[in-house]
Amino acid sequence: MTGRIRVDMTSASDGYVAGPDDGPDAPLGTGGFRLVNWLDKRADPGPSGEV
Amino acid sequence: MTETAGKVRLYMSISVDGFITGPDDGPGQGLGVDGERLHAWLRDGGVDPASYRPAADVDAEVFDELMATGAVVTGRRTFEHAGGWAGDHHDGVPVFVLTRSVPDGPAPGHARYVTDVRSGVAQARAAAGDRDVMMHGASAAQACLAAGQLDEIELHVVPVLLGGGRRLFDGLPPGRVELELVRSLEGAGVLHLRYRVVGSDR
Repeated sequence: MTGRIRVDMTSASDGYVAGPDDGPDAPLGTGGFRLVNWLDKRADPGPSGEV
Repeated sequence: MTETAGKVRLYMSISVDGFITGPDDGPGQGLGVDGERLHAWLRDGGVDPASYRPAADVDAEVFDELMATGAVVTGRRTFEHAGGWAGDHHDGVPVFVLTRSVPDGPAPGHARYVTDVRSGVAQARAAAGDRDVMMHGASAAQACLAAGQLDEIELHVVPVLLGGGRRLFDGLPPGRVELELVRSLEGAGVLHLRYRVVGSDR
């Protein structure tokens, strides 16, 4: 059994992976850091930590 | 709104890349090219929405919930693509059709045209009483969201990438609308995610 190549991507309910106007100075765009808030729970027990 | 009042809830099948139709949707092809894939969790049906009731338990439960709503609010585009549901979406509940200009002649059956979002939703809430109100259509949902009148969004997430088509929330001005996941059900080849609209920073 070989490993798989899997895309891991945080996405908004409307399908965006960044806010508007993303660029070198704002890699997730305006308000886009909301998308990675779930990572604050990465050390907690439960599904977020598991992923 | 009192605690027992019903919720205004959008029900929408959506692809993982955020499309609610395939490309080139229009009259005679309401869901666009390959867009029927989004309704594969439903049974093949006709003009009568009840004919779409799915077989799988969880999916049938979700379907029964939307068919138990006490009023329907829809955009005119969705209404016309669906043949106006022959004037009766289900059980003769009133259908409020949001439109910019009221066409000549009366709306069919239990439908009526409304030009003001707030007034239309208020009439639907009043008609539904303690039952929920079913919202239909992307532009109607956006208008209600912008007016602060959309309580919940139920997405039926279908495991497919369509690559093009109509997006559910295209045209929303930039700004954040915070949602809270209140229910998650796994159906047969579809995930039913219910979100509460918590608030908007715009």
